[in-house]
Amino acid sequence: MNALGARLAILDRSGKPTRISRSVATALALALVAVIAWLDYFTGDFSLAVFYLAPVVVATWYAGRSTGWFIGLLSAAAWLLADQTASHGGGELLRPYWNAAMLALTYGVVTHLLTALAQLQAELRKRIEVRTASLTEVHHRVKNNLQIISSFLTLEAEKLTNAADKAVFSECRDRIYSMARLHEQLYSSGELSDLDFGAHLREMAEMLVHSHTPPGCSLALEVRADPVAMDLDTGVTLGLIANELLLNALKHGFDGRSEGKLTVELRAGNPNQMSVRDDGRGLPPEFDPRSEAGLGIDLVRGMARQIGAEVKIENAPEGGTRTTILFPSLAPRRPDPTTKL
Amino acid sequence: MTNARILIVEDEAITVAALKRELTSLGYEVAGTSGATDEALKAVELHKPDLVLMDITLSGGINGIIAALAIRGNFHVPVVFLTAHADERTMKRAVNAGAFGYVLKPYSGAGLKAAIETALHKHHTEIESRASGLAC
Repeated sequence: MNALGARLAILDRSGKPTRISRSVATALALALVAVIAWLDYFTGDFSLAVFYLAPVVVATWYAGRSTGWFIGLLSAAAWLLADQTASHGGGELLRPYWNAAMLALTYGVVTHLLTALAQLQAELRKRIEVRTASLTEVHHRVKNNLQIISSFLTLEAEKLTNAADKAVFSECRDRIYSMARLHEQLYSSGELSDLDFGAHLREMAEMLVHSHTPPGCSLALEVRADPVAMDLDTGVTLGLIANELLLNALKHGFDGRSEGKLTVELRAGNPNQMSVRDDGRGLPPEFDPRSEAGLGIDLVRGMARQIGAEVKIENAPEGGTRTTILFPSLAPRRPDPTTKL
Repeated sequence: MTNARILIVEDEAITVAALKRELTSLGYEVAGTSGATDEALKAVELHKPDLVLMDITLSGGINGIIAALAIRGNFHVPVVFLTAHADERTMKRAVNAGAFGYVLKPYSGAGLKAAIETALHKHHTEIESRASGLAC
């Protein structure tokens, strides 16, 4: 019906059929009644009464209830006329009139049901529009607030003189930026519960390498990322983990080097794997990943626990340090349709 | 094109303050600031900036997109939008209004610089091609 509607209906700005489409629908319904009545006359087949539903549906859906009723009554009258003119046998005198009245009633019920369905559809469409507008506004406000926080950090960093202290603020701004891009991706994808983390990881790695490559180091970035869908909560947490791992690799993996390579991988599977590898000196011999403490690694471990992930820090066989996050393959959560904003 | 003079049209005071520092650190000069669209038109006339960096949702009777149309039409100054609106409809409206750039909030310094430089370059190319068209 929708495919037919696309060809038939000319809608006004509010999505209601225009007068032109109503006239076209009425004309089409009348033509259908004429054709079916003509076939009815020639065949005398009672089952053809079912076909009168087509013009009734067309008229009701595109021209409204009263037109639907009119076409329904006309269909019943056409059926009666065809039956009266075509039947040559005796039969019962009142039966055709009774049948015609029942048909008219059936078409009327169909008209009412369709009208109710159309009203329900219009109401649902309106609710979806309101909900979409509200979500747009929420996303807009979230990003505006993230901008304000980021602006505060910029202003506070101005008061500092130590470059290392300033870098901390800059890293915080990167984290905010990363979270905002996830919101954006989620919003612009149209699927408000799914986002492609692979695309986000690629963008984040490029942005961080651009802004945090150690001075004097020519750094090559290689990103191999499968598309992995997830919900916003998991995406934000995993994004923050990736942010920590990338910043850590950029800070310590290429110290005093003139060139290097940073490899970022995201492999879809069960579990999914995200890894960040530098091609530097690797871990010191005394490093024990299980007992090692520090704000960065504690944060990564804590966030990994939050999403049911496992953290592996090791010397990569091909050289350098590799940190791998193994996280469960979760079906993206669908929004609860009953949730009110 | 460093040293370009930029007018900031933004109603969030914190963001304005951060933008001023960011633009200065990127090598631009802040020609002035304005918090409303109707003031922005007067500020463009007064400060004659090389570029206007403007939010879309602003107070002042008209929104940033309509103000951008007026700025472009009356003063031939390129406008780059700095906004949290990431929806396709708003972006299309901005492009139709002749936006020279679109930066999403929260911005990164590199992204802001790239958008400003692209807009200035595009504007200069436009002026040059118009001038060569007139010469022919």
